[in-house]
Amino acid sequence: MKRFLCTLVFFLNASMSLEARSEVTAAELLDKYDKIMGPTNFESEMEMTSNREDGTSRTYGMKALKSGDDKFRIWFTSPSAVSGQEILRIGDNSWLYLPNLKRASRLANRDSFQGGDFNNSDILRVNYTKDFDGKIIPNEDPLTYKLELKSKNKDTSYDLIHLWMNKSNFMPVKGEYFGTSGKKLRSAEFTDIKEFSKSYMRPVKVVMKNEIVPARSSFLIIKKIKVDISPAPQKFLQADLGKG
Amino acid sequence: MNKTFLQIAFKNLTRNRRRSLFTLGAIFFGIAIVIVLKGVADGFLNMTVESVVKSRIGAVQVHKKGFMENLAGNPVGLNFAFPPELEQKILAIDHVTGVAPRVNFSGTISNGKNQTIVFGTGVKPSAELRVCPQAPSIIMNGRALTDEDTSHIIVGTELASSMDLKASSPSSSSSSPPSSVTISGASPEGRQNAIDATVTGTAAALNALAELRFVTVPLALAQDLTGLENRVTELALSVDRMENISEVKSKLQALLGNEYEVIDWQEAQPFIRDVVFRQKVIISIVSVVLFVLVMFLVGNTMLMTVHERTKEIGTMLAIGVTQGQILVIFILEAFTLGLLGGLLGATLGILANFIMSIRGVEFTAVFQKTLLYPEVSTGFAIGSIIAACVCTVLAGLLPALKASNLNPVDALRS
Repeated sequence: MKRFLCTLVFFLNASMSLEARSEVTAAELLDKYDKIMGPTNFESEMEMTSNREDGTSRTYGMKALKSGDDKFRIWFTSPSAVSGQEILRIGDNSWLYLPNLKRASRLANRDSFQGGDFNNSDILRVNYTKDFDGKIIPNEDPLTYKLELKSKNKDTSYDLIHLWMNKSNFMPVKGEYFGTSGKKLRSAEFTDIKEFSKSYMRPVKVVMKNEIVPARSSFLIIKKIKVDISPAPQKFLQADLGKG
Repeated sequence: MNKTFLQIAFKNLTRNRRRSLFTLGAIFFGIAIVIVLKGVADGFLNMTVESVVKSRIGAVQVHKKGFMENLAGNPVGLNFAFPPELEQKILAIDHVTGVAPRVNFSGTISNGKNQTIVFGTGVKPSAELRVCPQAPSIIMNGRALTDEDTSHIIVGTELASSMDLKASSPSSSSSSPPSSVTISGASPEGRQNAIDATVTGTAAALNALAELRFVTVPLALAQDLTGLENRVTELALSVDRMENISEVKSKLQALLGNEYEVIDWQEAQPFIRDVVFRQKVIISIVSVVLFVLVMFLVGNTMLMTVHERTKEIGTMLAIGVTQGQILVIFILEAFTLGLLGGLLGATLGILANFIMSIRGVEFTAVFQKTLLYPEVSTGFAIGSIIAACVCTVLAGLLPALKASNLNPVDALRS
């Protein structure tokens, strides 16, 4: 009888703890996603490979620096055709600096990132808490939360996002991105979780599939990332473009 | 006295009839060719302009200010509301016969395997038919859009061939079903969107590049794609007569205010305006060359006449005819040649144009085979006759001066 009661108490405790974990809110999950995929400050080395429908592919090497919620800068390092190009985002404005012209031209969020299947906002503007209202929706997979993110304003690239996050470590697993018409535009898979520091782990690889042209896809690999940094403010001035 | 000089000039012309006839023939054919050429060219230009204006662009267009400069950028950004009251106000302007709302957007089209950049126009088919009655003529395969179409698309013929797109067949017993494509676009704020559409037809355009890049969709689809509910980026207007375009433009500008730009077909389609300009320049050059040739021929004839009649001129000077009168006689000879040749040439030219314009000349215009109707204005015909007279007088001036400056004694001895 005593053993039975102990077992009962154990199972009750276990189920209560599961219950507690399932009470995580959509807002908390979004906050976690933002902290994982777009930490407040970071510097990183990344590689983006885009596979085109004609069977060719191209890989772009880049260094990135983020400061706060609204400042982002990228330096392209390879291939030689784009080496020296830079992207600067300040708030809602983004510019592409072309070294041959020594001029910066404005970029639109919706434009594709270096002709691949990520768009500029996928890379430069990761702040789902600010841009989307989220709610947890029923999900067939017991190991993940499924979030439905509805855009708060007209400025977001997508009208609706379905996002799956791992229940145990809150890492994003996959995402589906929809236009206003309800048509699925892209889908993403987040894989290869790596602990970059004691306090920070994230998926190393993000594969973005183009749902309009299934033969197209792109993947982003985070080679290095440091989150405990304090970026110099002058790196986020237009006047600094082209100065390395 | 003047009548006598005229009689002398005319008699001199009939003295060497064969030579006079050749000179007259040169002027006659020169003027006739210039008039026929001008008639055919003007007919061709009118046909081109009508074809472009009435099949695609409309006579007058309205956009938000800065639209034309930003056409390659993000055209949906410059949009405006088009309530029924505004439509009524525009239709109330004199000479306006129709107004068609449009949404211009840039995006991509995909057949599931490939995608390419396109420039799309959302149209309201019934309104388009009023503004561009020849619009259905640019459909090469399949059918034009109708007001009942919701998720349909017309693609350029080059685009259809490069993406292997099949249009719906007008007959329901078609073997292959029409292709389905996904058209992607974005709202002015950058929100991406994509909608599936069925290819109903393929259309011709002004050039291969346009046929590769331009698509037409129902207005509602374009508005859904770009998030422009009840808003448009362009209004196309038709006018009763092309001459009234500038009047309509100024009235429309006054109605809409400075926030809008009102342009005519020439500003909307500078390519066609440039083609028209180039053709006019070519016709002018050909006309000038023909007139110069005629001038040389008349000048040569007159020089020979002076040479042949040196003794006669000496005699005339000896019996008291003044140098000025000799000058007048020779200039009158040249003028008579020019007037006769010009009159006959203009008559032949006008007659030829008239005969060709009765049934029209079959011609492949911008979009399709059509009939060309040569036309020449009375003003141009009269101008040609005057030009013939002036040219021959100018050509005869040098020989006439040479004749009048002859020394009577030397002339009689020659």
